[in-house]
Amino acid sequence: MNLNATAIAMHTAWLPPKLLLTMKLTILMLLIALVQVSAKGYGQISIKQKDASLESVLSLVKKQTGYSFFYDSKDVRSAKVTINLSNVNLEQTLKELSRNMPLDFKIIGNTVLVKRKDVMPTNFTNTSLASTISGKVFDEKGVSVPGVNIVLTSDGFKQNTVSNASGDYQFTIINAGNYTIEASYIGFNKYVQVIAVKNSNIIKNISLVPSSEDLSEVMVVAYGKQTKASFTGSAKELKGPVLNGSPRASVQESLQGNVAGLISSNGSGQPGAVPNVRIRGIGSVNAGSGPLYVVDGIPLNDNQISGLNNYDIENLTVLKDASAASIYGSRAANGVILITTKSGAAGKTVVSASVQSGINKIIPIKGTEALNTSEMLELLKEGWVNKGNDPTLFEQEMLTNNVNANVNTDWFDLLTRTGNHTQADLSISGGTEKTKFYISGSHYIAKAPVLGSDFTRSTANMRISNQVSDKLFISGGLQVNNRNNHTQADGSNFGNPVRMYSQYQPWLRAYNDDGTYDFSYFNRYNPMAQVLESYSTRKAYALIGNFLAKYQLTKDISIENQSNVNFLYGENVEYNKSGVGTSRTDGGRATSSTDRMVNWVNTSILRYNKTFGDFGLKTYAGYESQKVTEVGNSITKRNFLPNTYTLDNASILVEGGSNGTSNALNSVFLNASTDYKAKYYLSASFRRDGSSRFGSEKRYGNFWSLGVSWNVLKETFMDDQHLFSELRVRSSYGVNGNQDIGNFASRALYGSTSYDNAPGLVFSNYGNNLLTWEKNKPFNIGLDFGVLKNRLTGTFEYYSRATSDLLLNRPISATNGLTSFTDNVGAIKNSGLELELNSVNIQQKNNGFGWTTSFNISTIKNEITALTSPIISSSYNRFVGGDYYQLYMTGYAGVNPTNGEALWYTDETETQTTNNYGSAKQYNQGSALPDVFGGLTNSFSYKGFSLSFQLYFNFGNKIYDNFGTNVNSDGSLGFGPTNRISRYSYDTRWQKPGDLTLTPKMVYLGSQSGTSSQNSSRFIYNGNYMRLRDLTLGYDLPAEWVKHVKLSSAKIYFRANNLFTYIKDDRITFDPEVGVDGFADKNIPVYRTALLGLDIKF
Amino acid sequence: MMKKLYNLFYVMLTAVAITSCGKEFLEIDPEQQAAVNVVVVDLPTTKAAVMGTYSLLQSAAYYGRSLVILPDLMADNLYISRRNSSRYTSYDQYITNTNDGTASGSWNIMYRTIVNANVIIAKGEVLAVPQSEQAEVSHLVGEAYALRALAHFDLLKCYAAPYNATANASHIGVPVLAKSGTSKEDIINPKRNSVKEGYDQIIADLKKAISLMPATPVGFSASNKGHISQFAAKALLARVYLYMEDWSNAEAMATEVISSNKFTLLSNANYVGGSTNFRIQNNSESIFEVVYTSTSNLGTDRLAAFLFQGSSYGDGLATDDLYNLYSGTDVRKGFMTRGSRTSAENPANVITKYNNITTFEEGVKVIRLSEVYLIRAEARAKQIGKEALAIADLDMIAKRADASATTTTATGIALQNLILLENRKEFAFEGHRLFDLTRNKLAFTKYRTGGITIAIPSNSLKTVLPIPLAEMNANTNMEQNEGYK
Repeated sequence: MNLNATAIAMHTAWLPPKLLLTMKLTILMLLIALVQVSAKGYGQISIKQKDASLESVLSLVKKQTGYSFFYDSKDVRSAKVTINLSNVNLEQTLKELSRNMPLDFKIIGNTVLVKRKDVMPTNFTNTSLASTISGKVFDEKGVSVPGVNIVLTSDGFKQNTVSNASGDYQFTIINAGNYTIEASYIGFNKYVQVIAVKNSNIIKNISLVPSSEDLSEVMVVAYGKQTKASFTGSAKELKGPVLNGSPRASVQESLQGNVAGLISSNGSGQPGAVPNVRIRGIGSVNAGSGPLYVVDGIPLNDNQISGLNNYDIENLTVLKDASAASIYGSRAANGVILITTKSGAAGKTVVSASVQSGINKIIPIKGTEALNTSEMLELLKEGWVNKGNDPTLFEQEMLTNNVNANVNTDWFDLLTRTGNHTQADLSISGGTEKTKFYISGSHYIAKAPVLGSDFTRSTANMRISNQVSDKLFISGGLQVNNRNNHTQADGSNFGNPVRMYSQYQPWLRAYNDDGTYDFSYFNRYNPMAQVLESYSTRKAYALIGNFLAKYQLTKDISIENQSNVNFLYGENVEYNKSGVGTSRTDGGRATSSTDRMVNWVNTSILRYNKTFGDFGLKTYAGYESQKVTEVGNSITKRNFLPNTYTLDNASILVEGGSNGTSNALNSVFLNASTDYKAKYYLSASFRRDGSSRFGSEKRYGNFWSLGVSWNVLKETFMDDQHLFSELRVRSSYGVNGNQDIGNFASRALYGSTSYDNAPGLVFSNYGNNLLTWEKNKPFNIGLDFGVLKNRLTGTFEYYSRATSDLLLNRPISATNGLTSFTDNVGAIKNSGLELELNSVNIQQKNNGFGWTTSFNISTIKNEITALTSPIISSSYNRFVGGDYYQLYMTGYAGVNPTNGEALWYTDETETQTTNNYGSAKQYNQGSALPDVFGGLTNSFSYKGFSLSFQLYFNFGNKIYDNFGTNVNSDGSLGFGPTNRISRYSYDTRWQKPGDLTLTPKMVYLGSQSGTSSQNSSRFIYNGNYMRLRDLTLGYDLPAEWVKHVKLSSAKIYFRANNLFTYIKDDRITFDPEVGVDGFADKNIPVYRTALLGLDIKF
Repeated sequence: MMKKLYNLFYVMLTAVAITSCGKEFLEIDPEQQAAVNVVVVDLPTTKAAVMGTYSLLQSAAYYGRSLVILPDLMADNLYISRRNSSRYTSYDQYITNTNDGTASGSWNIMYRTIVNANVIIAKGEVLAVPQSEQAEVSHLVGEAYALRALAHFDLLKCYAAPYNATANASHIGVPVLAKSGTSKEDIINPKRNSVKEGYDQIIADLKKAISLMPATPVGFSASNKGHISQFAAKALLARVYLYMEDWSNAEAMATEVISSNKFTLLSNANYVGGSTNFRIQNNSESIFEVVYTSTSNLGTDRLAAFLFQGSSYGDGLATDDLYNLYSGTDVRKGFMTRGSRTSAENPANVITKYNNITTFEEGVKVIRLSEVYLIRAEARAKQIGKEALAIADLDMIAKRADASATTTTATGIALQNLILLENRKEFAFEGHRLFDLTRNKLAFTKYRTGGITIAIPSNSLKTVLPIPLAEMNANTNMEQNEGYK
């Protein structure tokens, strides 16, 4: 499969059309089966030419055979050839040409690729002197290193090669003499050696030494790459392998448990849903709290990240502190997530294919099994009696309420299914030293374990780069994706299947005896009809394209420009079938809408890197502008013809409209870092941003950071110690910002409306010319250590981030006509400790047993430090001294054991109780934010087998069950069709005097407890849980087998997610992985997945 | 080196030329909204601002639902079905707290109405427009004055004790606003004015509105009741005087409206059913109503969805106490159906007064001619020597509804009670009842589902709504109502 097809040197700055065609065709040819066809037996060739140009000879051959030639004109332009052939075949012709010329020919299909020979003898006539230099490249541990770039030079001679998959390289040379061999590879010192060549083959193994910048792993950072050693900030890098095999639709879900200080959760198992990511706490009240996502240099919004194919991600870096993130200025306050997609590597063309397929199920939580009809009736009858009614009249009451005790519908069974997903990826990458490419395509199909929820995604991705000349480098990428969501109502909306299966009474039927839907109850909200007949779909089409040109002006100075465009188009249809639920009277209703976004970013960067004696200096300055334009339109019609779905079939226009908005950002930035003897590092960054979102008088803001690090091991006093193999202290401080608010929040505005068919305007926003950035000042101090020759490495960090000038929807007296306006007031502080440990418990030797562990744990403390006035919003109370998710409601005091009545505390002193909910005061009930969370991953390997599992844990938070009052209604809702009572209530209810329980007695249509307005701490639960989030068992097929089927590697694996969950609080009858706000709604729960996958490379 | 510098210069120049954007790059104007400085600058934008203010009245927190439901629910006309959508349940149980969304929603929307009206008044009064447009602009400013008065009046009704709670109405009312701003610098934290100050402002505003609007409306036809006309302002003023117990002015103002002959009562046959019944927008009896269109309505939040069965929720049911008041021949009994509510109350008095679930073009009557008659009846009954006139007005309404009703003979307190009873029957589910009870200092029974009752004394502190907690938090000058401290 090794094909030197793209090895065509380019000689001009811009691609000539012929070359472009060559490149395109080359890629095309790679894609088709890459079968080499023998040319034997084809048309015979006769040529007789003297000192003719090679081009004319090739053209003759083309005429006689029909074969086309692809070549770079530079290689053949000046070549003259004398040739005399008659009646030979193509192969012989090419052989003859090749003998006389420094060219190689390769036949592919009916095309011949012409390229310069790797070996460039200065004297072609004297071929007998040819000898080789060959060998293997090893790293310091003696492991072979593929992909190392090796250059062999001598006077008038230069040749390049790259070590192959097993680390081997080879040069063929003609002349004796002294040759310099240079090998370079990222993270290692450049290897340089002079070899004297006489007329014999030479074996020269190359041992690479890790570069002096100690364990210099290179990591992706803002606007470039940097060695880990020189990095003064706080960041966590995740490599492809952690992300690539994940069955989760969005990459953010793979961050949970892998990055200290990061919470990623949305509490919804809806495939394609975008998780909320919070890095180091909650930094804002009203502006966004999510990080900035930058994909290959393009800032994107979070829902576009789910358009990325996990397999295309090379690595992902989470930037947490000022030193790492402040260069992104006004958008860096909540951290930055950099995603780099894959690009090709020089060498053999690698084709990777992977396929995985799995099934998923809703996780059964103990105590969630629905009550059946007889259990439900038992409860209601008990309530009937408790109410003081005559037990013999209960049957009559059942009849009045149309309860058929013989029906026992299992709604969970009807509305859920075994979901599944399949992901297939194909990628091809490779190239030469000069031109590299990566192309891929993928398809992902997921069916959620509830009815009516599906997701598909198709992606295509191409990245190509070319070193045009010593100075000019260009690179371009294009990603296209199509996502189709078919979703059901989520959360607390009617028609949500999860809500329906947890609330519908078992005596209601889905279908009549004749198979039609039973619409006789609850406003025709038949759950099956709702899920199967109505739908909500979104089709999103996205395109991300970028082009980078980089020019090396001098040895030290380079300039680059990257232009990006990101395009998103979405089509949405929401359809409510006539006669079902919402559309029971309006004849069916549908909304069709489209939205389009164009995000344009252009960045120019000037870099200057130089070493002055013991000092190294790296700087860059840049200019960036961005504009995001969004438009959309929407139309709603109703009254459909039966079984029609397009809006043309509906007769009544409900509403129609269009919208448009945009914002722009203009910035300059500067970054400099210096080191002294790779011992002390100092870095600084500055950025000035101008944003269209802010007040005309405060449009520009300045952001900066300073970072230092000290490589303790480089000190002389550490020379004699053997304990530490790595020891570094680093710290940073700076200012960055948050501008994640509405586009026109600073303007005094009137919104549009209408009255009596006339257009109207209504005051909608207070103007604030002074509105500016929310300022975030992160401080970070960290210690990186490695002991026992890095058998145990770790990082310990303390951070605090103080956010001031909060972009707050500042509450104002409603007498101002509005209840809030956006202002810079208030402050919030987050702080915490993060510890990350990685250990090699048993080092794998000779393919034997190996065991590694990585562990991370984070604490989080959030405190509102300034606020103009307390803000009570939904169930949270935000006040100075409290934290952002402080729950606020009436305190539940349990059940009076003598009569079974519910009791509430009269106030926050919790000294007095009352049996009258209305006379109890609301007060603070604890925070929904966890105190501690983290992950533990263990990986074992033995021969080709690998086993790893990840545990995620989360302690110290409260969860509020939004549906608590509904599913624990204590009989107050009687036979209400959607008021089934929970099993927890059934099991724990008060039944007789003396019962000690938290669940009051059942009272049929009672109101002392269980009514829907009685929100209280009764439904606030302890959120502690631990979960076996991920388990992977993999097997690398033995090399011999793999070779047998002409593959270079093959791996099969089994993976399971969420196999086991420990929940502390037995009142929790839902999945404990709720959103960051601790609010448990009836979302599609996170589900359990099991899958099989196969990855092959050839 | 020089050449390299030139290269650098050119590359930089090109890069900056491609990407550079001047200051105007950051100057982006909103497309969907209008900046304040382009509103109320000519006739079309003044008209749009007034239409925008009317649209606030459409809100479910205002005339769209809450202001119609609460006064009947917190009194003896309406209760919440035990199968409900959780709306207004705390009012049904009299356990409303200061953090309640309904109380804050209404408070917010009423003040929003006032602020929008204030901007129109301030800018509209000094607006220079061509002579041909002056009359319409004046009329629009007049409507803004009337809207400001209406919102202040509604605030006082909901959040303060009645005018007659103290001898000189010196008790605490609501903040009274005669001007408002649109920028950060204009933000205010007002104290509550006295009820007297509030009513003074209301009367001044309505009088100003009457002076600005000619008898024939400018800018809309007299048959369009979706806008405030001179007579709508006069009818509202009559009601204000009635609440102030200024009987003679109430009577005089009511007479002006009635004798204008611009409005006629619907006939008995066409009142509840028929082609031009109560529900039809712009009917001849309507003086001012909040209108809805098929493209501008509240959807599932509309009044009909809350009251009418078979639509969405049907949460609100009429009390037996009310239902049994109507004689068998009273057509108004037809605004209810004695039936059952699926899986809940049986029997149940299902309300059908609002039932348009197809086009949603069903206006909410703010004031109509029958009220003006009953205002005058009450004002006359409270004045010495006008009982016969009062009876004539009362019978006009009673006999329109019940053809077999006998002519009233009662006098004194009995007559006044009959007028109050007629009010209850005539305006059931139109948002009057609680205020008629409290301004007459009457105790009453709140009926709930399942036969539960709550006795509300005449001096209850819970018949007014709480000042919203958010307002208390945001405005340190605000004082809470006694019943919620």
